[in-house]
Amino acid sequence: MLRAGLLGTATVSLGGFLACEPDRAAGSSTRPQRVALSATGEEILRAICPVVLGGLLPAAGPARQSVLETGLASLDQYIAYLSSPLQREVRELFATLDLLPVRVLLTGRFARWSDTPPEAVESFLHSARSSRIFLLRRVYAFLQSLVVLGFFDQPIAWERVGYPGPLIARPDTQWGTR
Amino acid sequence: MSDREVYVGTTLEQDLQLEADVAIVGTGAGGGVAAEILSLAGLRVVLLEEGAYHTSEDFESRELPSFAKLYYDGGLRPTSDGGLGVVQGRTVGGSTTVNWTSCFRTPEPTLGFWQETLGLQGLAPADLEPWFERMEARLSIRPWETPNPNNQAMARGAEKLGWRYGAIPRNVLNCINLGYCGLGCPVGSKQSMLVTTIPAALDRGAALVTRVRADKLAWSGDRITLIEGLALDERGVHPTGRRVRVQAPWVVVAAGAINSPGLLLRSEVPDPHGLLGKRTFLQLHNYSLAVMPERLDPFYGAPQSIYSDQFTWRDGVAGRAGFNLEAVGAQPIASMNFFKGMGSDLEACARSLPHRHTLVAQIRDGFHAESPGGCVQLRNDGSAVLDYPLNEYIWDGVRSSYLVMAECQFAAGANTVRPASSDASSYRSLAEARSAISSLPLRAPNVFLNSTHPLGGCAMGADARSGVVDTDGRHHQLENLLVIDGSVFPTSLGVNPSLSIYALAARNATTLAATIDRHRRSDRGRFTIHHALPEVS
Repeated sequence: MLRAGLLGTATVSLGGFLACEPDRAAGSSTRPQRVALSATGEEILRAICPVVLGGLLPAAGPARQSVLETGLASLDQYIAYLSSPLQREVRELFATLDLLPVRVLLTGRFARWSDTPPEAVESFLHSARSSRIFLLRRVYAFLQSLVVLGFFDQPIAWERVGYPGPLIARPDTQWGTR
Repeated sequence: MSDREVYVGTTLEQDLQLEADVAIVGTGAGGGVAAEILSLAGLRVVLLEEGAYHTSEDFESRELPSFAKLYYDGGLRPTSDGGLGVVQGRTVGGSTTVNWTSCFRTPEPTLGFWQETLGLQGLAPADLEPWFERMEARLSIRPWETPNPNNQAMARGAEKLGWRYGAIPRNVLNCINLGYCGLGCPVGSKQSMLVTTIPAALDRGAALVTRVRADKLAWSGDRITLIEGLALDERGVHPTGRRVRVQAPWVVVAAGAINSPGLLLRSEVPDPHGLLGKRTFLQLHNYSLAVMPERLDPFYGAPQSIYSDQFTWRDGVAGRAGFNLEAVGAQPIASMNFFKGMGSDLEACARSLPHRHTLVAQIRDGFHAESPGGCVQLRNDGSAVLDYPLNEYIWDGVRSSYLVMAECQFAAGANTVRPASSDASSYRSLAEARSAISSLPLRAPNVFLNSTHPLGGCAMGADARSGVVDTDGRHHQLENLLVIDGSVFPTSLGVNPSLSIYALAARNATTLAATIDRHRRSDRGRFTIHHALPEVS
């Protein structure tokens, strides 16, 4: 309970503070323009996607890269539609997960998320899922859900799971707003 | 549609002021029905909607963008601790635009509980029957006779076990069984508010403002004086700075559970007994995932067409948590959302999708002392959030329903059954499932729970001490305020709620129209006398 409390406090205070700094650190100049997904969030999602999706993800190479880029772009749009308080919560959560002490605690490594080996990411996800701390279980469920949303939105995912796609074809309006 | 009066908050170049006989906040099951009835009574109605005006032609049968655009918080509106999500529509037509069309009359045990235990009068089955009949006719509600393989499997299991089950009445017309109800019906078959009551109201001179968030109700004495709305950007997230103000002698709040009490809390309306936002119910949904030997293609065909109420009242109305059962079928994201595994486990689950059979148990809440429901609160920024603690009463319903759903799925021929909990695994026999489920740790959010049926928070009560509104939907303290939506129910229902909301909305809007007519006649009387006096003298 104590640890839950401390981590909870960290989420609110430090995460909130850091989330005010747009796209600190990890933002590389080649990163696509995003509406709502922070650079930190993107880095974490890139690290966990292969672990969560396993063999569903194409082997490393251009096909995998394309799935990741498409998924991240869709998730960015999806997050941009969430209510302000939820968007803030998402930003703060990612910012908290990127704090060095939190990274060390969760993955046992000093490395950035992008440099954390998949085994360490997997071990973190497994222990978060079965943790006695509610907040960590919630972090796992949240991260897993985002990966699922970003991946199963894509026709390449449909092929892999035997979903032939929508029965009524519509012009690909996708993320156009109105 | 060109001569209909529709404003889009996003594109307003200046503040908008409107006047009406009745202003309605929300265009879902409550607001939509009320708008049609009041418009047909000759009243000028103004409707405010936070979502956008997406129509059948816009619905793209693609999950992620549809969830983002048509649902509140992308369909994942979290409770305050994030333990589970509430699924609510946020588009013209509200949740009726994205629901799965299951329309049940309010069960008699529920109405009996309201009358006998809560003292609510005028809501007996015979009182409501004409209103159910009226809305069933209006929305073409009739039992669905061609269930898809996913629903057939549930019927097969229930039949084999000797359970009570039946065909679900659906509000559809010329439905071609596509299965995309949750993403907005792309062919306009679903008789949602979007294609029925709202266009009817607009054709009778109602005005609709989309992409506007009702921020506050201004009030003075015992009357609402003004609705203050904030125009929203193209995603419906951030205010643009333009304001929408509506003045009307009558105000109907129909923003649904969570947002209706949220609006009233934000407006600091009188709440002398501290009832506002309390007793919010979710009829929590938990899920069981099976793999059948045959291909079911659960992503196609009416997603929900078979129900069983075998266990809804299993221990009496006020006993242990009962639950109704329904089949669940949907496209990949919605289906995979129930499964929180990863790696090879996730891959195996995903690859079995065409053979997937999913059942949902909806655990009714609010009928027992240990089932007080949740409480709507305001965040610092004024937005509404539901606090819903999970307790032993709920977990008992979860465990019992996991067992029952596994029984049904094995009876239907399942190869494996797996409760939708990341602490569970796949079981190959009923005996194995029983043994594992009886000792399964039940904890959030590993047990996947959500709710598409948030209800309550502005509960009906016989008097001001027991309810926010009376059974006509009239607010107990503010005389020109009504609440007409799912937030008025004093418990959950034990069934999918749409028809209960339609019917009560029809009754209460009809009563309101008569009340307004009476007021007008007496006002006209006074007016005549005032002007007649000089002539007489």
